[in-house]
Amino acid sequence: MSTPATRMDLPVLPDWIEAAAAPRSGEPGWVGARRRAALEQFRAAGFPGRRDEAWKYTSLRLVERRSFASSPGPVAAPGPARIPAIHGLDGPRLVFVNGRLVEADALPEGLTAVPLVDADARVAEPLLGRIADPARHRFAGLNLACFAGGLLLDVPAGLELEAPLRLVFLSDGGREPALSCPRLLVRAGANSRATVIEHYFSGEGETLCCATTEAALGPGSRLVHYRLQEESADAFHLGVLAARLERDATFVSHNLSIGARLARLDLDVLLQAPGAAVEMNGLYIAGGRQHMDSHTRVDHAAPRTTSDEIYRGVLTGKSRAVFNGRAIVHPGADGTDAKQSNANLLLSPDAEVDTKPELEIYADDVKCSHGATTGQLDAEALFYLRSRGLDLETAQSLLTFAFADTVLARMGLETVRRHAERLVTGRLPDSERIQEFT
Amino acid sequence: MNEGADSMLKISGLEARAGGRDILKGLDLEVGRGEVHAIMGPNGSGKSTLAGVLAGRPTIEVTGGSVSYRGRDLLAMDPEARAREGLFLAFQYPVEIPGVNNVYLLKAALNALRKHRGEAELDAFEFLGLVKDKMKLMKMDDSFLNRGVNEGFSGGEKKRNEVLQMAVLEPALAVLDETDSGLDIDALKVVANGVNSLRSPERSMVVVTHYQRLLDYVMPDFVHVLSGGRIVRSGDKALALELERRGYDWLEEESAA
Repeated sequence: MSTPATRMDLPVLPDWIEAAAAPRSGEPGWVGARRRAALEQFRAAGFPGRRDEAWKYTSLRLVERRSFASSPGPVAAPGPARIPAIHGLDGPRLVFVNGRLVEADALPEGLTAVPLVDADARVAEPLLGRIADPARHRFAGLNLACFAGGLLLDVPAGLELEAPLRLVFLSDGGREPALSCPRLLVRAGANSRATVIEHYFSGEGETLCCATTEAALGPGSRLVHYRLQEESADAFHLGVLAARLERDATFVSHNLSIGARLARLDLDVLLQAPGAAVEMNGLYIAGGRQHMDSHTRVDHAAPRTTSDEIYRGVLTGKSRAVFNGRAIVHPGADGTDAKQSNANLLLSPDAEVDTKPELEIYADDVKCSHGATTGQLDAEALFYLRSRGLDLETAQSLLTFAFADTVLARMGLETVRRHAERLVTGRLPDSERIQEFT
Repeated sequence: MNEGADSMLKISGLEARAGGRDILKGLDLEVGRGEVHAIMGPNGSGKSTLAGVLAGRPTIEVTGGSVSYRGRDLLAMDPEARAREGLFLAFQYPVEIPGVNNVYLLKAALNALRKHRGEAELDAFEFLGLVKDKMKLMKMDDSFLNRGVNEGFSGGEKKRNEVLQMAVLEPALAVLDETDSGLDIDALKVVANGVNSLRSPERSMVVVTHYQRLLDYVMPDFVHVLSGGRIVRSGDKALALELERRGYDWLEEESAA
């Protein structure tokens, strides 16, 4: 038996993390054990630095410098005015404030949503922290150590949900910076169909949203997942979205990131059985001094699995973006089809992007394609539009919108697409000129 | 009658550079109201550069001469100002713009013109009525409307789309840059028919082409041969036929002599 390392040997974590990870009473023992393990893992790893390959271009100095308080108890539901509407969207809504569920509509028959800490251990224990591995994603580990309540969303086998379920996550600071650790576990039963929208925004003051979602997709299931992040300029956002797919399951991920001072999302998909398929659509719009980091990873671990990824970014001002797209075709994953593209539009000489596709192929009979581009607006297209009477600013704005909309056009929910388009137009230069186009 | 009232376009001693080369070297051309002028010439003679200069292509540098359009200094105007003043260029290679809807572009272009002229903008209903008539003329089906601008269009479809835009925008001066290239005979007839329907005593056209084939359908009032960056010969339709028979070499030899 090994001797546990003493606290003194290990790096000291900031008080706010120790406070957020303080032991809870009334939680099942297995949850507590998992929290403690995650905390120790985070303590050992610490905050990432430049020497961590996965964080080479993203510095968390600004996060480390601050102290984020976690809400000790229940929080009040926000007034309806504080929750951005998605016009025309039907379906139940669940509202979380600083990671805690504060408001829930009635759910359709068959669908259950319970706090993770109250969930049936036979369901939750094999999954919690097992899909978003804390060893790979240290902020999924921090979330595991600190999450308050969490939510297990259980879509039973064969259930086909018509209406999308919308989860609203409000991070709300105040006089002092606030920590929010929403945690979601989605279990999609065999041959089920569901659409889940995660909608992140923030209120007053500085906030850190450390969000983790895990999804377990059963055989033949289809889960369509929207992630909209529109937090304020005072927000930090460190998200992890991890999915594991069984035979013939399909996961569709739409990810729009336009908010926060610094935003990072790790999207990690394991195609573990034949016929599993993932579609990943991402759009990041950064301006001012914003920093946007998208790290995606797909593991093709079985034959005939497919991935189709398109990520695009528009950068203005002094903003910076990072895209890292990794696709691993494991031995035996013959017949894999992996497509990836990343394109970036730099609208300012002071904006910067680091893009890196990583393809690792260890199987035969594999179709893989990837491409990354970074550039300015197409001069010939600009001239074409101007030669039709559109002024320069309108032409630029229109081409920029069209570039971004290529990603949004892949959204199946018209209402969410319109909302996303409005958000994007609101962030582009001279966007008032192209209202009639959008 | 004063001279300005009949003059649509007056090009004097035009010199222009593109891609680090001098292309136009003292070109003179005058186009009157309602006239159709064909500009012919071998590859590399400067035909497309001329079309580009007229529309204000930013990659072309005008190094000398002047261009007067309806009595105004054309070269001082932005491309969009030229368009709003009624100049239209049908592109040799129309640009594909995925994500920008074909019909929205047409509507925005027409309304930019109307606004400039102090006319009320058309609403969606009025506009659609107008555009559908013109589409029938160009034998285009409704699916064109909701596709991205030229996105996935065949060569012929792109050229028809250019003439459709021209038909909707009703320019005072239309410059067609090799609108006939890459078209089979049926598509050529459709395009020519569209162009002919726009002929009017108020509208002038400059038709740039390598082959005289288009001129069988769109009868020019004048034919000019461009060679080495200058107009080396002008005539009527008979000149185009002579060029078809004899090629361009004899002219180049003559002008070199």
